[in-house]
Amino acid sequence: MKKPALAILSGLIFLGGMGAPVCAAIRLLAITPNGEAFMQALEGLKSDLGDKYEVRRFDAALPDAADSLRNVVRTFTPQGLILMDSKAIVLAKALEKDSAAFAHIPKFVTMTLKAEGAIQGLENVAGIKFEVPAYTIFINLRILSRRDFRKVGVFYRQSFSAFVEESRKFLAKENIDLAGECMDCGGEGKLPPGAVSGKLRESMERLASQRTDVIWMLADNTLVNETTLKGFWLTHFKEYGLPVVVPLPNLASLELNLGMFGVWPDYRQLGMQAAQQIIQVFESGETPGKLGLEPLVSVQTVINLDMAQKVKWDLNKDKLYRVNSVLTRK
Amino acid sequence: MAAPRCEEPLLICIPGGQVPGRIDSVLGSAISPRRLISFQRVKDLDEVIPAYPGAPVIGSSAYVRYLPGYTILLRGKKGQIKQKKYLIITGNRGLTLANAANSKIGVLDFLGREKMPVFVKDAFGFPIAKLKRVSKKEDLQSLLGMELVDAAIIEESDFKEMQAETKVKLTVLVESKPMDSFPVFACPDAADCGELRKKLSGQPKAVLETLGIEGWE
Repeated sequence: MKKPALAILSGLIFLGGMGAPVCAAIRLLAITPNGEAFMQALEGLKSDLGDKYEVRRFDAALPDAADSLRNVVRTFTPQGLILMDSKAIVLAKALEKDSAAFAHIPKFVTMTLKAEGAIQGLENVAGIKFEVPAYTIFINLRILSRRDFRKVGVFYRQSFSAFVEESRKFLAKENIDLAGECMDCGGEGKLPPGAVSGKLRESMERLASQRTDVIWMLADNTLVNETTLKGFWLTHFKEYGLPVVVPLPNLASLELNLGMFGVWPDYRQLGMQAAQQIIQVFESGETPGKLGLEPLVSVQTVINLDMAQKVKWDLNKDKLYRVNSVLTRK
Repeated sequence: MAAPRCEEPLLICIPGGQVPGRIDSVLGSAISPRRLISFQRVKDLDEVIPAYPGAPVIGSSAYVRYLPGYTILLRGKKGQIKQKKYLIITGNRGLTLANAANSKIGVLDFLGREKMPVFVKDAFGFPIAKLKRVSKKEDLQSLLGMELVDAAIIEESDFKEMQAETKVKLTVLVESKPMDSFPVFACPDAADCGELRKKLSGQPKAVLETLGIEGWE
């Protein structure tokens, strides 16, 4: 496979003459929106890269972002792009459209849900997926539990099918069966917002009849929002007395009293994971395309002990030190 | 007259050990009024050390060995064991010692990206080109399970626990020579740290276990 010219050039930057070494830093432009999580990921990334790299941030949320970005690219001449969030990917696609030479610049995508779809049409891309893998979630839950479990249920939309399939494959290695309920795979088209809670209720009947041990809630705004919380999760779902693993800490809060175990990305470590891909490209001559999108590895966790007691989930208290936050009113 | 010298905080970094919050809550009161700052990643400790010249440190002996100007005052141990062996373990039946050096291998990063490969080469006697570093011990399990690496380097004492936590059949490919790597307590100025040394030496086993040790010598 042909190596991108810029990656080769950047490898040469460190080669000095016989005198003082020439140590120009590798210039990376991070296109990110504002927000605590993005800043944490960027900090983790910069901290792992160290001073061999100059990372400059560009705010993807600027009103005239496309034009401003062109100016920044002209003056900063980045050798690599870090793209966080789908807005950043759209901006990068516009740059590639402007100039074919831009296609050769390595791009690293992260903090973007369903990144496989979002990067379609973009060249020379590697990155870290933003979805927390089921394998990591349920390995962690099993370590915290005194009981073993065999069946995990999940509600998902067609656009998450590949992720659910991949999750099923890895969970099978751990003898865990993933029972999936697709909300919109029947050919009826897009799921109308008003119909989601009803569809979740129907699907829940099927999962319950299959002796599902625990429900896995995906980070999908269509299935988890104010309407479905009222119409399903905080009402109908609770009647089954099943534990649910949630994708955000507030969904496992004592106030909401819904999630037993919350797992979400460790943003700082996610940045560090992305930094390792950048190092592989610029220092070991790997191509972004060969690295591809890899699953996120590191997570943060919260356990709601009151909820665990309510759904009769026996926890291994000796292992709770592994959890970032342990919640209880008692 | 010179301004009174403020007591520098105790900086702690035990990668792969207890979360910083737990170390703070258990050890913080024991060494009060001295402040304690704990870190999960060596990189974070590296960045903070220059801001606290003279600060005492608890870190792995491999890390402290590379800290210029520091003297080790206490060495951690478990029972009478003072050194650890490391293992390269795998769930991939096709992996052999012959192709391990060119495989992707996961490792808990307790030294930073430049020093970790040096440590690994020293421990196993051969270099590993593709090290994938993580900052939490449990992330090694995810790396193996999701096949992001072919093998992982772990402490020998963690092997049974890792086997118990997965249905994937893990086997040992090779073990390292014994390495100094239990946490140590070190200071740039031994005289300044006498009192803290005494306090740490007097901590019960339950407190020291948050540092991954059972006693000092």
